[in-house]
Amino acid sequence: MLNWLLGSIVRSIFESGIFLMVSIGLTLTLAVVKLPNFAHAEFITIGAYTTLIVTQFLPNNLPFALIASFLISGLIAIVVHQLAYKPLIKRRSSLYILVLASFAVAQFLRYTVFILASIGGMLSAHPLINVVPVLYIAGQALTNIYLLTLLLAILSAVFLSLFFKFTLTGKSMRAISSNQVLAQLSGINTERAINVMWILAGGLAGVGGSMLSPYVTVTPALGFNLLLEIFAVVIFGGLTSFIGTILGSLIMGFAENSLMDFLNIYFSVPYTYTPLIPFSLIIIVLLIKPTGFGLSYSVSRALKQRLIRTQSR
Amino acid sequence: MVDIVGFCLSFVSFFGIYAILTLSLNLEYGFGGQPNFGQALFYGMGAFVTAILTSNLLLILTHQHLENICTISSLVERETIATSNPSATLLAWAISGITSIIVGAILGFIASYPALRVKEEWYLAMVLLVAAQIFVIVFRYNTRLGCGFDGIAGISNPFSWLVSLTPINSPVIPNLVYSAIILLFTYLCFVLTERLTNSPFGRLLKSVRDDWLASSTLGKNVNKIRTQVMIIGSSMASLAGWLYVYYIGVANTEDYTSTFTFSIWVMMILGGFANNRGAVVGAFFITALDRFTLIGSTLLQAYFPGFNPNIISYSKYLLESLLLLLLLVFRPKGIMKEGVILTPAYRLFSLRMGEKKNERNYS
Amino acid sequence: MAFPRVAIALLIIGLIVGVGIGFGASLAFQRPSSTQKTVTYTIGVIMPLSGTLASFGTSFVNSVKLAVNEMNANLSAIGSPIRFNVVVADDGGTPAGALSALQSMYQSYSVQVVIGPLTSAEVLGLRDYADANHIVILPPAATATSLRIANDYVLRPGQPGDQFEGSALAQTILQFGEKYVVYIYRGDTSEIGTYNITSGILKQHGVSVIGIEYTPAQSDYSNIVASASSDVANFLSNGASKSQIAVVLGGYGTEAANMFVHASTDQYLTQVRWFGIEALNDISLLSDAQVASFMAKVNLTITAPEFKTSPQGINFVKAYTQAYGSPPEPYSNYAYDNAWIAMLSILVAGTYNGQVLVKIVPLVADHYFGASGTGIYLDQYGDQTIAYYSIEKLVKIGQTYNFTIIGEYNGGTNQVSLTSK
Repeated sequence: MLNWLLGSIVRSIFESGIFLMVSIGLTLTLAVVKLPNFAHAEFITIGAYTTLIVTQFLPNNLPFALIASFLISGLIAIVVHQLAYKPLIKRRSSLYILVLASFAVAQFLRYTVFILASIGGMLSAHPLINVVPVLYIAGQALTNIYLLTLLLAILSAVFLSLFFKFTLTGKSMRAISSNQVLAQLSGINTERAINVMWILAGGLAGVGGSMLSPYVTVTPALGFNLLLEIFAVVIFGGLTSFIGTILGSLIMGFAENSLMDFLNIYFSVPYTYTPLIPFSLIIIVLLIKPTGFGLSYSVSRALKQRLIRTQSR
Repeated sequence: MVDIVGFCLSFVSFFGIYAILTLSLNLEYGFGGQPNFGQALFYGMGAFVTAILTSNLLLILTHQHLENICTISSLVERETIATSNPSATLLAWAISGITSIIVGAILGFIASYPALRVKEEWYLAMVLLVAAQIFVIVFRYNTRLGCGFDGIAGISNPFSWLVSLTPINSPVIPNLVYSAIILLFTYLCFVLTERLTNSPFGRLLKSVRDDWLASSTLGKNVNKIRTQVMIIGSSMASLAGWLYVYYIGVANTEDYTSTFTFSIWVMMILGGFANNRGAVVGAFFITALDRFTLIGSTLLQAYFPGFNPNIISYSKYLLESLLLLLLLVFRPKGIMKEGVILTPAYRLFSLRMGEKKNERNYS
Repeated sequence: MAFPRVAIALLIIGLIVGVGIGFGASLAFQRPSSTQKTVTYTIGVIMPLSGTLASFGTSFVNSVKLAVNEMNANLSAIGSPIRFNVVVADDGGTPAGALSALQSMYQSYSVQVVIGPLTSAEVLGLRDYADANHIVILPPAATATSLRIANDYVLRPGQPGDQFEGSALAQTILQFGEKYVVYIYRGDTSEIGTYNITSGILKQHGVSVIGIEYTPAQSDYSNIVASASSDVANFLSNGASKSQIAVVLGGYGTEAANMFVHASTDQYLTQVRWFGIEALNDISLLSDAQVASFMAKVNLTITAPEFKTSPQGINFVKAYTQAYGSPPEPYSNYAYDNAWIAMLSILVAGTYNGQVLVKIVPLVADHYFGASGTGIYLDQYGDQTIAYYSIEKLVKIGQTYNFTIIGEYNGGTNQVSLTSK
């Protein structure tokens, strides 16, 4: 009776991995520069297209494709920041101006990709990467891409938490996130930290797009279709919390797969209504618990300190 | 060789509807501070309510049995009634208009609830954005609500019956009349928003927008004001939907996506926040950009064979986003700046004092 | 009130530039050409060139241009002064965009015949305007039954309606003795229509059908594939044998590729026979080794238009590939045919008047046999009444994958006859 459940869980975990890769950059952006970047999804598209182009010349060369996607998406992210966002942030623009600017950047990037893709005849193409099943769990195949995605997601999570905890740049980012003015006054090189943040944000999204591309076919609207779901993940996680994003990705992955499977099997809800799940969840979360389910770093540290203080008494 | 009359008519029709939408958004955000990123929801709901109601009303008013409005036979029936039966058509048009305004108001009331509930304003923006997406999905896939993918068609121009009455038998007459009506409603909406904002209520809106805490301390009912502005803005957007669906003839979810909401925001930003004239100018400019590039592209291709149009169609989007970015960086207040609130008392005052009648500009 | 001068200046400049382009161009045309008096007829093409359907739109536009170039070459070879020109407009896939595009074409040069748009939603957006201004609309691949309206200006001598493919598919499935069917179909009008017809016929013959509708243009369909897999597993556990279970895919393109990739690693879906619609005969699927090997493994059987046996069909694919570097998207042959029918109608009528053309187009279409491989005979709604499909199966020949014909469907008699299995 529940034989669908195991396969469903496997797929949910895969999707959570993808969502983690593509959403962590947005959380970073929100935490460090307080910018809801609607152009974030375009970094995914750019990563996917980079993989497409790279595998045309080097088929099945995953490491090269991943590195290239990371670098190119990260580069575009920095350029976008320098050209569009920095001037606006400098003059202390309101939140909506920034949001609209990110919409405009998203449209600009998307249609540039459109033009380039239509010239190159790549409006919908498939990267030359073989998807090979490695082992089977309950009839659901775990492919090489699947395992690699999980590996990369876990590695990124570990890397980022170590990065924030131990490196100077990471700590600078946390400082900027909690109070930018104070950080600058303390002598932290905020410029450099923000630039590194953008490379990470764009690069990770690009790698996410790269991991998605062997399964789907790459079109210029690839990232745009995922935009609201990424925002849902970040909202669940409380917008700026790293752990929250992990939680949010898991919620999203499971909601779109296991929950939808459940609704489909027992209530005959057709799969075409799947997007309603993240959307309804967004509304519910925003109305009931707008701070989301995660804790920001500073809050969790404050809690831990409080705990230590009570214990040492 | 260019059909100037036709071009002006189609330009004016689209411009009028977009101007109404921009005015409504400007009211909600420019004056009221409520970021409505889901304006397409109210626009689309007005359109669908109109389509469903008209399809049923036309049958009722001509004493026929109600049938499934999604079938071809009912579509043909609707169109036949529109060309032959003036009283039924106009009555259905009027009733659906009033209903869509009421539905818009109710939706605006419901939508203001999140505004009161959420702590930060951009949550409202997110909620409305998502609600608009939900609307699109539900009406696209549910055949009981909106006839599914193809939408509801056969909503003819409410003056189609004029064609057979005039000796010329030309389709221009109903177009002319309807475009004039769209312009009339645009003017009415403009007058309404001008009156609304150049008044103590307008002052109230701006104070709530700029510093709701201070307003609240001074005893103003912030929640009630926010609700009121959402209700008015949403009814205006639904009115635009009613006008639009009779113009194009079909209510289809593809016209009411978040991309369209973004276009309205561009129009508003371009024209200027909190400036009704600016809103109209912004709508004019973007409509002009769209229509002129389109007709320019077709003309160039028609008279210079071999001209590649792809550049124009893609670069229109690039141009629009680039324009918006440049505006946001260099001139975030738009073309026309926010002015002083010109209540009748203030006008009298400035007349008496002999001051210049020009607006003082906030920079 | 003093308006800011910048605003006025900007507006005036914009208007002058726009109007200037328009009038300058029209004046340039009115100046008579000094050489031979060529008569140019302009065909309009309205397609989505941006957005999710861009690849189809671009392919259709290219097909029309191919047809026009061929016609012009032939006309100049015989010394005729007539030439055809193509004007393309992007409608963004929305009804508003389609209406704006048609208005612009009509206002700039009084277009009388248009190939396009792509989807029935777009067609419905410009239908009223086309009827009022007497513009003939020829959508090559909008097969929705919601367009079966008599006495309007929308004619569809292109792709036959879904009722034919549905019937062909259903009968093929029955002839293979399938008793349990899982039907995955795209959530758009055509595929929903095809599904309804196919499943209706199957159910009448006592076949159990489970339908799974999926949202178009998503990135990943692993849950759809998993759902189908568990349905097949359920059938098996209820005692059905593998040879009695079938999976049908009413989808195409990148979505199909995604599903095939997922299905190729599934233990149940690889064991049963798959069926599909004509659009699965797509070079982008066949050239992907992983996808194609799965298709061959499950003996994918499709209902395909007979353009592979028609010389024009084969020539069309060759000419398109040569001109544009890659093969055409599925259904592009209908755009090519519609362009030819439009041009032939103009030549026959000797005039570019829409009110005349709407009567001539059915006449020409009924006597046209083109890249779609079947004849055309339009009914009172302007829709196709005949359809011939070949039933084809994917096999591996050496190192390549190809569809081979194993039977045919005759739309006239509504019968499927299989020559092999």
